[in-house]
This record gives sequence, C-alpha cells and structure tokens, in this order.
Amino acid sequence: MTAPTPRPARRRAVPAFLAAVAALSGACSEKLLTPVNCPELCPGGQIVVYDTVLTPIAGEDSTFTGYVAANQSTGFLVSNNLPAADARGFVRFLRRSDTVFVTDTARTYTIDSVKISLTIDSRDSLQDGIFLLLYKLPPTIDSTATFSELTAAFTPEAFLDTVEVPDTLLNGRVSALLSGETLARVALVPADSGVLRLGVALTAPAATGVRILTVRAGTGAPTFQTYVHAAVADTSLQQQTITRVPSYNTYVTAAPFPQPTPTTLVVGGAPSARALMRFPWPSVLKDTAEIIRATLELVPVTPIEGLPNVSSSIVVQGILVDLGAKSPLVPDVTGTTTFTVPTSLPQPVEVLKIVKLWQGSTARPPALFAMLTPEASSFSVPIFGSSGNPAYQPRLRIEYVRPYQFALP
Amino acid sequence: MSARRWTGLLLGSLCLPGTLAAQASIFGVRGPGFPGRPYSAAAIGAGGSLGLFDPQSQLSPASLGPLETGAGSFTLLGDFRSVDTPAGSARTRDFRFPNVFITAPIRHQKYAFGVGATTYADRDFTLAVRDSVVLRDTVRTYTDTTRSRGGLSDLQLAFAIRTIPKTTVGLAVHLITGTDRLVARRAFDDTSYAAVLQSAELSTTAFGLAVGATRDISSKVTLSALIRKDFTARVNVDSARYGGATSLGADYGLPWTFAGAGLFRVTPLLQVATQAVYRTWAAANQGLVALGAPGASNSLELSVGGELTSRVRRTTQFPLRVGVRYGTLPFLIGEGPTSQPHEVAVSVGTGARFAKQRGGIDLSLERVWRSASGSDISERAWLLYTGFSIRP
Repeated sequence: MTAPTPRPARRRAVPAFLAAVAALSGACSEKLLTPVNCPELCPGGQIVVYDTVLTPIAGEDSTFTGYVAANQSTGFLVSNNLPAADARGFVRFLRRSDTVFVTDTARTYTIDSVKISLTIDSRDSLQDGIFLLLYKLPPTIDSTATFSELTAAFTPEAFLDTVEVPDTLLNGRVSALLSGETLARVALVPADSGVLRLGVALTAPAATGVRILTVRAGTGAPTFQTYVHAAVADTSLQQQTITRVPSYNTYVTAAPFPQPTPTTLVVGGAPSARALMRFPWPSVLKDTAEIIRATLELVPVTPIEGLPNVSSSIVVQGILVDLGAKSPLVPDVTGTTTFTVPTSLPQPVEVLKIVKLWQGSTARPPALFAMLTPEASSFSVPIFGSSGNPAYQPRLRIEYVRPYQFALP
Repeated sequence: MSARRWTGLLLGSLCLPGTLAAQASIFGVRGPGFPGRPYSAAAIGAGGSLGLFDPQSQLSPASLGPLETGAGSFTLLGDFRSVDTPAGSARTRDFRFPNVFITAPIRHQKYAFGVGATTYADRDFTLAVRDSVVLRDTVRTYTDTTRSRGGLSDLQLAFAIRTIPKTTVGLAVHLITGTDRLVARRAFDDTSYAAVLQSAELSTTAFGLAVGATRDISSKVTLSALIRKDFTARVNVDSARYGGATSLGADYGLPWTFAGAGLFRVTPLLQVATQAVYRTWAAANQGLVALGAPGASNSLELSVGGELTSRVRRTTQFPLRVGVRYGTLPFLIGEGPTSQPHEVAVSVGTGARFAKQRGGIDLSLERVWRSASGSDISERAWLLYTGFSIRP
C-alpha cells in the first residue's frame, strides 16, 4: 500500500464521507428471502408429513352420566310431541311477601297486575305459530314430579295465559301480562305460601320446541313481577313492583334420554352424559413428533335427532389426571364441532391443542372427554359407536412431522 | 473535527446491528457457507489484488510488514443482491462487519503483530419454497421457509518478523469457529394445519496455520506468497427443540491455501498489483457429500488492480482504486449432475486520512456477477464496503 504522508486532510471531503456512512448505517435492515426450487437449493432434508389413525384402547372408552341435572342447566326445554324429546317446563319462584317495604315500613298492598317473563334462547326459526302455555301449578308439584304428573296438572283451571313467540323472534324475551279479570288466575292462595309454581307447555302447528333460559344462564332468567298499590299516604310512593326470580326450575320429558350400551358412547341428555376415550400413545408421538393436526371423529350409530335448525355443539377436553368419571378437565383448551339435525355424518372435532398436551416429560394422559353443549338442555342426544363396535368406533387422526434433518452443513 | 470526536464517531458506529460476517450468497447455501474475503475496504477497491500487501487485510501475516504505527480498523459491508432462480427472483440486502483487525509494531518496528477476526464462511439466507402435498385425500398447498443465520468466523493471531532486509516473514494461527442458527418452517394455506417450526444450532470449530513472506525485489517490485493449512472442521448439531438432547457430530476437511502476488510501482503516482489465490476445497468434498451436500471443488481467485494518486506527497488523499476479479466458488450446486459456480467482479474505491492521519475512511464499490454453468441460478450484487481505521 502507499505509504502515508503527513498532510492534513481536506476538511470539505469529510462531510461527504460522513453522509455516505450515515446513509449506509441508516439502512441497516436485512432482507434475505429468496424463492428457490428444491432439492437443488434446499439444504437438509424435506419436511415429510406422516398420517396415523388411532382408535381407543378396547374397553377403555366409557360413558359416564350424572354431571349436570336438568335443574342445573342454563336452560329448560319445552316442546310439543317433538320426536327427540317431548318436554314440559316447571319453574318455582321465590316466595312473594304479602307486604312491601316503603319508607322502611312494611305496607300491605293491592295487586294491580302481574307480568311473567321468559327468555327464548333458541327455537326452530322455520316453525311459525309457536305459543307458550303457562299454568299455575299446585303446591303438590315439586322437583320430583314426573312428566305425567306435570302434564296432569296442566288443567284448564290452572291455565294462566298464552304467550306468543313471534315468528321473527330468534331469541329474546316474551311476557304474559295478567290484569283485570285474568288477574284472579294468578292469585296465590294460602296453600301456595306466597310461591308461584309455573308450568310451561307449548303449542304449535307442528311438533317443535324451544329452549328457555334459567337463572343459571346469568341473564334472561324467568321473572315473576307483581305491580302493586301500597297502602301509603304519599301517592308518589304507592306504585311498587315486586320482582321474583326462580328458586328452582327444571323440565321433564315423556321418555328418558338414551342410555349407553357397551357398544355406544352417549353425550348429552339429562342428567348429562359424557364420553371418556383413552388412546394408545406411541412414543414417537409423545417424544419426537411435531403434531400439526389432530382430529377426533365420532361416528353416530343412529342419526342424530333434535330440534331442527338449532345447532348444538360437541365439546372435547383433555384431562389433567385419569380418575375415570371424575377426571379433572384441562381448562381453557377445548375442541368443538357444531352440528344441526338430523345428521348421520361423523362429527369431526379438531383437538390439536389438547393432543399437544400429551407430549413431553410432563404429558397429560392421552384421553379425551366429549360432552354436549348446551349441557343437559339440548333436544339432541348423539349416540356414537365405541371401541366395542369397530365399524363405528372413534378415530383420532393425527398428522405429524419428525425432526427435520438440518444440513451438516 | 478533532481526533477525539472521530474516535467517538467510530466507536458509536460499532454499536450498529450486525454480526461478523461477509456477504451471503445463494451459492453458499449448499455448503459451510459463502467464503469470506479477508480484505480491507481499500484492498477490495483494487479488486483484492492488494490483499497480500495491505496491513489492514488479513490474508497474509506478512502483510504487516509496512506497519509503522499501531492501528485498528474495521469494515462495514452493505450487500444488495438480485437473485434469479427457476422458482423466481428476489432482491435482498444485508449489512455486516466482515473485517476487524488490530495491529501494532513492536521492538523498534522489528516485529509486528495483529489480532483480528474476519469471515471464513457466511451462511445467512432465507429460502422460500411453494409446493403442495396430498393430505386426507386433498391437495394442500404450503410454503416452506428455511432460514439460516450465522456462519464461521476466522479469528487470527498474526506475527510478522522484519529483521531480514527487504523481507517480511509472517506466521499466523487461526481459530475457525462459529454457530449457525437454523430454522425450518412450513405454513399450510389451510389453517386447520398448524405450522411446522423446527430449529437447531450448528457449531463448528477448526484450527489453521499460515506462513507468508513478502520481499522487495526492487524499488518498483514487491512479491508476496502465502501458504496456509486449515485442519478438519468438527461440527455439532444441538437441537433446540429437544433441549439439546439430540447431538450429532460430523467433520469435513478444510483446504490448503496457496497465494501469490506482485506489486508494481509503475510511477510514483501509480501502482498496480496482481494476485492469485488457490484453495484446495476438494479436501472437503468427501465429508460434505457424506453430510448430504453436493460437494466441493478447488477454487481459484485471480485479481488485477491498481491505485492512482493525484499527488506524490498526498497519496492517502482520495486515491483512485480500480480492480477486476475472477474466481471460482468452492461449493457445488445441483442434484445429480453438479456444477461449480463462478463469479466476476469489478470494483472502484477511494479513501482519505484525516485528523493528522489518525483517522481514515475508505470506500469501495464492487459489482459482482455470479452464476453456475448448466444452471438457471444466478445473482448480481452491489457490494459497498466502508472501512474505518484509527491510528492512536
């Protein structure tokens, strides 16, 4: 190289160099993506996707019942001869006092009117002309009442009112207002002890049903509102409203929901049934593979019936430890598939997030719990094949890749 | 601007993002990486032909001969490439520091030493492939992305002896080491399928020895030669996915390097140089093929260049450097029939010293064409080198 000579630099050249360096430095962002063709320019091996189908361990898949009772559900069913389930509803409201507090003093009152409200959660959107029939039931009707006992109490004398479910209403609140001459129908007698027991039936041009929300749904619970005239001198305080929500609600069906057999798995019904399936879990899937898709396929042994044009869902969850029917479920990780009736198609449920929990040194048990939502308040009760019925048994289809063979180099 | 402020500027520039690596290339994918060039920005401006004589370059330890004061230098590289493959075209860019070198004379300038780092092989790339596969009786399209960041750095401890009149003999010990972070990803168009994401780290270690000599034949001619041997590279792969539980070992040979150059001072204002570098990369062929790569062949780099200054007493101020270079690239491409890529480059550069010769900046711009006969793969690149140097 040329030997340096001790001369001062030309200062005007320096800014030009600085500008060049600054421009170069300011553009320091990488962009390296290049389209290539394999294998000519692809280092290492190819990503190969493997496909495997697992079936439950024979005899290790079962149906357990009793999880959610009809009176614990977020809804109750009412229908008129629906083949899937002919159901009647029963609501027992909290006790209504015979006085009302106004300015810290219990006052007697006279009733002006009564409003009973229900919230429709789902209905057959193609079925017009649906009416709810409300009955005031005697104190002899309680939580042990059967379908026949309940329907026997639905007499003309007990009839309160008819509530129209507008044809345009998919879901929402409907009410019956009783006043004047009809007010006497809802009058509580001493034997009622201030408690209104409400029976709910349905009438429509064809067999159909509705699902009505309960107090467990959080919002939209049935209400029993009494508009009263309190015995108080101040006229601005005379009009009061007493609102009562259910202390108990349930529904009963004409026929019990289907029960599992050794060759079937049942989900749904009331008390609700859930199906537990345990799968063999190869070490390649547990320790080595990267799973990219996992689908549980449940195959109905009979067509799934229910309320037409209303969807229900099958929810699948993993378990933290295998304690059989009482296995705690893995929270927040679910697979779901939604279906409408009637259908005979296998129900696919994507369960990748659950199956990934079966991998590694702290793996969860390779088992899946299937349940129906809304639980204990759906007209559908799917019956699937179990491992005892090889043609209809559940299938867990898994696609995975093995560790990629990176180039060395 | 004072020397102190210049020092601050240079130190600040060191904080820029980047790693010690040279330019990446599509032709460095199927091998240990794209070979680095241990030259300063000034030597690049002359096509690399001054590499064996440039004390800021790390090709030969004998190039420390002209050193009169201690110096620190580093080079910033901006790489702007256009790549054409049968799958499509792309424009890429990246920025690196391919050359850091600290040098100093000792014992009344009878000896000199240098400690530096340069790029041995650069393996920065991101490759994308569109394809499809039949899953569940349905054709599923996907995009595969293979990403690599890293490569091999060449850490050098060089020592030069200047006790023989007109002759400098240099010795250097090289530690070749580096990590390559690899990520393979497959994303299906059908979002029912989760993306495949796997990664691994590849670490490599090797040693090398170099002997070089430079002799002034006359006042107008200086010759230089170099012999270097790099020993077997040992490779380990640790799979990040399984916490390092999977470890695979492998090795491949590294080449001998033979280099020779002549520097001719045609006039006091003009000097020209020519250089040849031959590397026996075929030594790596068997090992690379065993590891799945297409293989390697010996490489040859030929360069010619010159430096023209405007005034005899101000040779460091804005000299004009030009050069041309031809080289074959060591790592083959292709499956079945393979081909050896080659490159042609022309370059131009200049530089200046300032702050009483304590600071210096060199700029070089190189235009490179790379291709492989029998292949539809080619690339063109603009390489902008900016060299900084400090003499305390």
